[in-house]
Amino acid sequence: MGKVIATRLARLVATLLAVTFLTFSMTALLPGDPVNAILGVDAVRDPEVVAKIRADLGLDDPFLNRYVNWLGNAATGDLGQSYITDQEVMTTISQRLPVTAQLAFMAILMAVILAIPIGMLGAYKQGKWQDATTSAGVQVALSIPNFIIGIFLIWLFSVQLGWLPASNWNRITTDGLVENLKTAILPASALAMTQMAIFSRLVRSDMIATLQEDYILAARSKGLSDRFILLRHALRPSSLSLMTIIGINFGALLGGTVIIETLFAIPGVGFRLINAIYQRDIIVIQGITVFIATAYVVINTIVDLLYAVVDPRIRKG
Amino acid sequence: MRRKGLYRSVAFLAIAGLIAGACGGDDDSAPADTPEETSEEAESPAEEPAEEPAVEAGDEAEGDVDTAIEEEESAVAYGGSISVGVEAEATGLRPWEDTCSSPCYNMMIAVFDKLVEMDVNGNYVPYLAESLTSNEDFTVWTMTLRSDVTFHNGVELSAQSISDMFPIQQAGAAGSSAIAAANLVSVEATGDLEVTYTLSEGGSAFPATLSRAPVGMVFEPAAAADSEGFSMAPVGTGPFVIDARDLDNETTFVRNDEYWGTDPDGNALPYLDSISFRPIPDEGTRLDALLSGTVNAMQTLRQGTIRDARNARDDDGADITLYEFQGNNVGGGMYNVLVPPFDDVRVRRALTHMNSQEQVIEALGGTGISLPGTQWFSPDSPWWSEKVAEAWPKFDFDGGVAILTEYVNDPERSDGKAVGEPIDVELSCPPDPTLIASMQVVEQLYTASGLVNVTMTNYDQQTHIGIALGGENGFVGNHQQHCWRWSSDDDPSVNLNPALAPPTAEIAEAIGLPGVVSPLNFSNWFSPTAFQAAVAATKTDDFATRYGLYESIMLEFADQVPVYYSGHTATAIGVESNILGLNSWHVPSGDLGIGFPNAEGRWAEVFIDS
Repeated sequence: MGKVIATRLARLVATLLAVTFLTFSMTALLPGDPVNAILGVDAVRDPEVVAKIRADLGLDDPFLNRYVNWLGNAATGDLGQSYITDQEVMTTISQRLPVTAQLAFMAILMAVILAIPIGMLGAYKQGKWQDATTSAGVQVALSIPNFIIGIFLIWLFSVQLGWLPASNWNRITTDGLVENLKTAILPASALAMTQMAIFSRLVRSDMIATLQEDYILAARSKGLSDRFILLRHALRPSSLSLMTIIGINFGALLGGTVIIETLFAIPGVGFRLINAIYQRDIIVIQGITVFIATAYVVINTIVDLLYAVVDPRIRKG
Repeated sequence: MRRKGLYRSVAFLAIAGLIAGACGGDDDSAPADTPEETSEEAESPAEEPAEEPAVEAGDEAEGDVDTAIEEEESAVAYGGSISVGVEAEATGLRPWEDTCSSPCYNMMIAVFDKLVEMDVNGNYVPYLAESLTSNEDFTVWTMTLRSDVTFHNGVELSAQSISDMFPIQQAGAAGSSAIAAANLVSVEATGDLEVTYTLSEGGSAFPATLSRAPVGMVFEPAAAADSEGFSMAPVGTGPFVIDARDLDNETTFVRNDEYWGTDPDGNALPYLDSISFRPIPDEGTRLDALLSGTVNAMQTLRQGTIRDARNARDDDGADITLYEFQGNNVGGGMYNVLVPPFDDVRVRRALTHMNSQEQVIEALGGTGISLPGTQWFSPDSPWWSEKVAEAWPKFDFDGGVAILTEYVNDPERSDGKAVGEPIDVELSCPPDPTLIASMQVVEQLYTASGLVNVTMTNYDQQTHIGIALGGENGFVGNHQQHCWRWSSDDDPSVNLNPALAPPTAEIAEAIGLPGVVSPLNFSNWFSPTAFQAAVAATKTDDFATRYGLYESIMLEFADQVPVYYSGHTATAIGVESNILGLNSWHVPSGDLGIGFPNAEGRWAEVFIDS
């Protein structure tokens, strides 16, 4: 087991190095001078001011020097300071991560709650109208971009029914849980739809396979009810790949909420990333991108390790 | 001779019927801030009724955006809180440092006062200042501050405060630029409340500098020592005090109980208990937020959103009021005149004739909202000229084709192509859907002529600007036909002078002005006569003279066509219909303020009608 962990961690470090280098390279290749964004167009008339800011920010240093300096600082947790707001990037992330994490968690939770019965129903009624209906519904949910779902939800629940706010975020710490949930439920629902579709297809296909196992036939021959068999004997073995994909998608959602956060004006990591891109705030772009990539890689590694714990064949392999 | 109330005199003879009429203002509402200024103005020959036919307003288009600026008739009420949806988060709340656009300005104006404001007639008038006068050549400006004004942290405002702000502004990204543009070299406290500004080169439009955030917004200099902390907890003298700042979510200000300002009836301001601003970048969501009551007010700078809000109000019965404003800011673009074939005026004229403003405005969603542009001033502006409007090359496809054919068949054509070959045009706009639609209109028209090969490109805003700026090639830029916006409701010199100065070092040296290079001359068009006119306009406060100079520049634009226009930028602030007072805020003299240009509200006199 120790060897497995060591191997995974070595891969993790290598992946992170590649991610940071690629991120740094791509942001360096972005057209547009960050100094323009800092000063505004009206201010570029003074070359001395521009030169001073470039020098202060180290923008004139060779690319590799900048990368190595940045990497050295990042290794100690210092992702730098925003060109525009002067705020530390780690502070920016730490303030916004709970919001994005809550959204991702709620989306996954809602998706799982919906996906399991839908997937089970499709598997249990395989080939029948119930299966066809749920499959069609899942296909629709998978096909519609989540921002379209978000726009629809705003129109229905905010403008027409007036039940929920259309935008922004009430914080648990200042507004309480109920008010927080009022602002979280629409964006989380928009995110959940696609996840639900993916999860339910996975549950359905896994459960169809499970239901053909000998022990299920044995259980049926004992006269156990279908409901009991489905919940007690079929669901657990059908959930292994679901657990894996939940972990992976949770990591992906940490960086995948950009559009929904922007649509609903949710002050999460993605919303800040979009603003940083518009502002050419390269340090923030780098910091957040690397953070998201790191989170994704770390979560995947944890999932891999858990897999190894759960399944001895992987551990030995 | 000392000139008092200089800029007010400038505009005094201006605008009379025009803006006042167009905006529902009052011709008699000229500022009377101090008795001596008033009397000085009365003696000024510039104040003679200007009988300037050229300052008459143009006809208003059907569906024109034009909310009346007028006294509110409902009884004001104290109390209540409102939230305002703005299109983006403020990058910061440091006037000297942060490049401030409309959303940020809405927040800053809640917490900071400006030394000078613009009134309904377009005059720059004292605000936190009590008076502002200059010497004859406009190099020394003397300002007297209001007394008994305190900052939010209890520190009393004094001339020394203004003087102490100066080094901070000099070191700031936004401030240093504004200071350089104004040729401001020193700010001294010459009395307890008297401040002396010294300029290296006189400028009659200096009050405009004091009306803008980087130099004109007053902050507590000692509090600014912690720059980042100040951005989160700004300290000004304004009507509201920062209460909480949750970046990218909500910034809340509460009533400043010690505020110095009153309404014309002597009631203490502000009326509201608190106001919060929420950045909602998506236009549709922001409007939905207003319609659903998530926010009580919202701003927009998009014609399409104004159209949707009108539909919601008129067709769906939404209980909202739209405060719409047609500003000088005008969309369109430019030709890089240092790049063939745009170095030939025939090409520029031809392409402009072949560009249908009406269709472009329709593609932009501005039909019935946005007035077609012919100059840097909207018909509501005192600077608008009918002569220029008539001179501007109108849509005339066949005429354009004829001119372009002449160029294409010219053996000496500047692009070096063979006779008869189409010209190449790279048409570039930021990747906004409506801009792309407008590009497609232009591309189809050009292509239909058979004389133009059009390549369309889209780069994000920062890249788009960078391409036109051309920092790496001596500010020539790498653009050809490039989408752009022109002008603002500031004094014309603010935008025009840098756009007319020599664009490159070579040109500056050639005309004997080495070092006078403006990277902000994006079209790279240089005309000695236009440049001299622009400079001359900053050496006088006589409106008629200035008007004539700016008209001559605009006429040269119409003839040489370095830039072209689509429509003027309509903006709006939408509010729930029980929120009043946005169009009836006042300057300290009791006259009405300018209103809400660029969707920038003044919130001190806003109240909730109970």
